[in-house]
Amino acid sequence: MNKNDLVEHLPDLRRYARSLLYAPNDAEDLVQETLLSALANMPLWLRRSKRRPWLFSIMHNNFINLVQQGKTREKHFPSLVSLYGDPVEQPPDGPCAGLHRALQYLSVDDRSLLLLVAQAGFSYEQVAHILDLPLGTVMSRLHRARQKLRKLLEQADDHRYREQQ
Amino acid sequence: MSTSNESPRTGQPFDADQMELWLTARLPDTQQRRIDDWLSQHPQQAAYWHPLQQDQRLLAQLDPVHHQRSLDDYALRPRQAPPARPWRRWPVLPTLTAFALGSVCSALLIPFWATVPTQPASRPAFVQSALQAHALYSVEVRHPVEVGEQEQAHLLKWLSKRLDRPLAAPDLSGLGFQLLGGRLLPAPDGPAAQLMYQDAGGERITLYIAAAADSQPSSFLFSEHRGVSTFYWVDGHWGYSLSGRIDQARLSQLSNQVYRALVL
Repeated sequence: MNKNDLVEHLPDLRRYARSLLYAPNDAEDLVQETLLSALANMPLWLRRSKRRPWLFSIMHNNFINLVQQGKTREKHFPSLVSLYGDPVEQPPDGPCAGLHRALQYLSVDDRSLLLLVAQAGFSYEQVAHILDLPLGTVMSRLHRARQKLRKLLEQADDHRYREQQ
Repeated sequence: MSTSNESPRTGQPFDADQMELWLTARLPDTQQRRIDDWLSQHPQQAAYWHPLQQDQRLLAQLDPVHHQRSLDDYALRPRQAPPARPWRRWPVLPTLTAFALGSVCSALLIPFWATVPTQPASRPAFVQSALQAHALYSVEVRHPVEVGEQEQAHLLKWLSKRLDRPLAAPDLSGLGFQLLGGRLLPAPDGPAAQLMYQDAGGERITLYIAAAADSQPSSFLFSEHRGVSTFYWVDGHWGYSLSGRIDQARLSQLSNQVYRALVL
């Protein structure tokens, strides 16, 4: 594996980081940290199919470190970001802004789990490996995470519905 | 409209793992269709599972686009600079590789940025001055401002006279920021004014107003330099910039408030 193989996965890593973290600086920091760890620990030989999960597990570890060391703005939620959004003024954030905000209200574990399966499209076994969890735990937590996210999105919908009345 | 958050499990012929595979469309087509058919005949189950399927689809497409960093910001990121002691044998290779990789990343991103019409290649000069003034004065403990808010009437009259334009101090108290005061500063196209606000947590933001004769009128643009974020815009030959070490969303709200107070 060499640095060109790394570049190939950059868009995916960046998208995952931006979904995990709301603050753009945090996401950019996470990408940089991940690239530096990956460069420092890059195995000379890694089967092609294993490269992407390997990079995501590095990003996951860096993500947990950033959060645990309080280096992200996570700790300021929810004061910085309202689940319901500001109906008038939103920084341009794409069509999934509501979903992106709701994700920030999930625990870091639930958020990574959901994104790795649903967004990054990893197999359940790969996710178990990346998160270092038993497969059974992945499956049961995943369903609970989906339920929590649904509840948050319903709350936001209810709020918007009431605002319009 | 709220559906139940409890799975209606009674009478469900598929187990939780199968349903999870169905959500991510990882079952073979025939099985996927079997579950679709079964849901179409069981509205209570469908009311639970279809929203989850919709969430799954949205998650699969989720690609948050953050603010567009300008290239000069990117080039100035301290982590991409070589370390202070580059000649020790070990760090050279990883550093060069990291630097090369950073360049490749930047190069890859150029077409992406180029398609965004709102971000010019570089900031107008007044934004640079605004960021420098913010960095210099917002950290002052004893003399953050030249004239304090207790002399607000005098402050505004003075700044209005020196800038030769009527100047008001936007009320940001609704968003948690109180006026601390302001100062007069030199700028490339004449004098500039800086008004400083502070929130209950001691976080400071500064509003910088200067003539921007050469700049085209623009809507809100976002820029960032060394952790200081700024929203800036040009209106009628005046450049405005609101800067602070706060989240972009919050700064955007504050900027809207300032814009309404000053320009509308």
